[in-house]
Amino acid sequence: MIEPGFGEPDGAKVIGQWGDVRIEVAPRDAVTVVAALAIVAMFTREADADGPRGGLKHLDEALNGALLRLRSDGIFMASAGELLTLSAVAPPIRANDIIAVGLGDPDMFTPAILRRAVSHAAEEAIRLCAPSAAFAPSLLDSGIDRMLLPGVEEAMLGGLIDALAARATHGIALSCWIFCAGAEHLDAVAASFRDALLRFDRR
Amino acid sequence: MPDATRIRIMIVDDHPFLREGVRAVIETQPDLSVVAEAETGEEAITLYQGVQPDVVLMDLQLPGIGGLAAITAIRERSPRARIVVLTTYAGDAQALRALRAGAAGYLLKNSMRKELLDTIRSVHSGGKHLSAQVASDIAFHVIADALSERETEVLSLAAAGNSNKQIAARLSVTEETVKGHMKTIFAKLGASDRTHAVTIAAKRGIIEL
Repeated sequence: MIEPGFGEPDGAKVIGQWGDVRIEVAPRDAVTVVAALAIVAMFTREADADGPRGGLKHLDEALNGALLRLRSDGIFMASAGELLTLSAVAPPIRANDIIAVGLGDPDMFTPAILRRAVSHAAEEAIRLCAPSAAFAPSLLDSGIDRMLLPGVEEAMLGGLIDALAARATHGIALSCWIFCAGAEHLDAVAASFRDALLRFDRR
Repeated sequence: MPDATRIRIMIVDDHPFLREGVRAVIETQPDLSVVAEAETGEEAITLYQGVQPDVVLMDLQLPGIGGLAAITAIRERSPRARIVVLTTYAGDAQALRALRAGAAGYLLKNSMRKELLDTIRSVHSGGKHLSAQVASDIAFHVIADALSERETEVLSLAAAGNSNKQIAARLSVTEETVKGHMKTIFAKLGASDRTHAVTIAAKRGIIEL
């Protein structure tokens, strides 16, 4: 049963429910979102020479440059589906742990890659028994062309549902999943997610 | 849970009390089991070949060849080996060396129990898992091998109590060359003198005392 709602604390909008997991979209990034686990997507490089911006840059700065440093050292290459967990993070990051999930080469980006990345990250969130998790796609932050963005809400939702379906017979700790989005387009993003959830619910 | 589905773990540490404590934590979990323990790097290499654990918990300060060499040797023979370093913190340089050698996880011994268990499971599923403090320290400092190999050599000899003249003799260079290296070392480390440079380098794991 899908129960959309509005006006949640922190500016978040409830998209609906899948099983026991409430799904929200919030005008936050991986630093400011209130969740036990914050997940950020990263490419092997940014699409433009200026490097990351927005929420991804904010997170990297909050980690003293750790994300970009580990990527440049080849410790975490951000290849598609690759996971890096940083545990016991300190303020200003509000989550307890951070996961970076790789999206591979930005020139090869497709929504299907994003779906698989979200699925991997959600499986890890479930494995870590996180009660809440937030996903920041960081596509615009990485310089991805807006023209490539149609379908990404459905892809992200699909990835989450894939992971939940794989664990359908097991009890999981996860009860809330948040997709991070920019404040300026929040209403439109929320509407896209709701439409996508309705389509999944009808299948 | 049947043994075949459990994550099989090898603990490598030269402190029996530490191994006992980690084993006790692991054995509270139905999906984890300790299948081997080793006290030295050499023992770890040999045992790994025979036991083929899913995950290795490896201290770096070990008698004999040390944990770093053991990681390298195990990964050369078994490139898919999943190794988590579990150590007292000896600096960003040491952490970076371990990660470059192929460790998939790096945790401090003062980590919380949940962090250890999460790391084992993350690494077993193919991910990497670091303490955020370690990751931030790696990034915060200038690249770990900011000192060249020769500079590291010079500073190690200085740390052992050798004068510039003695260092020059050991390395078959002039005393002026050693002084030049020292000046560069002080600048790179932000050190005010020889003792300060040794302290900084030891703290970061660039040299061992």
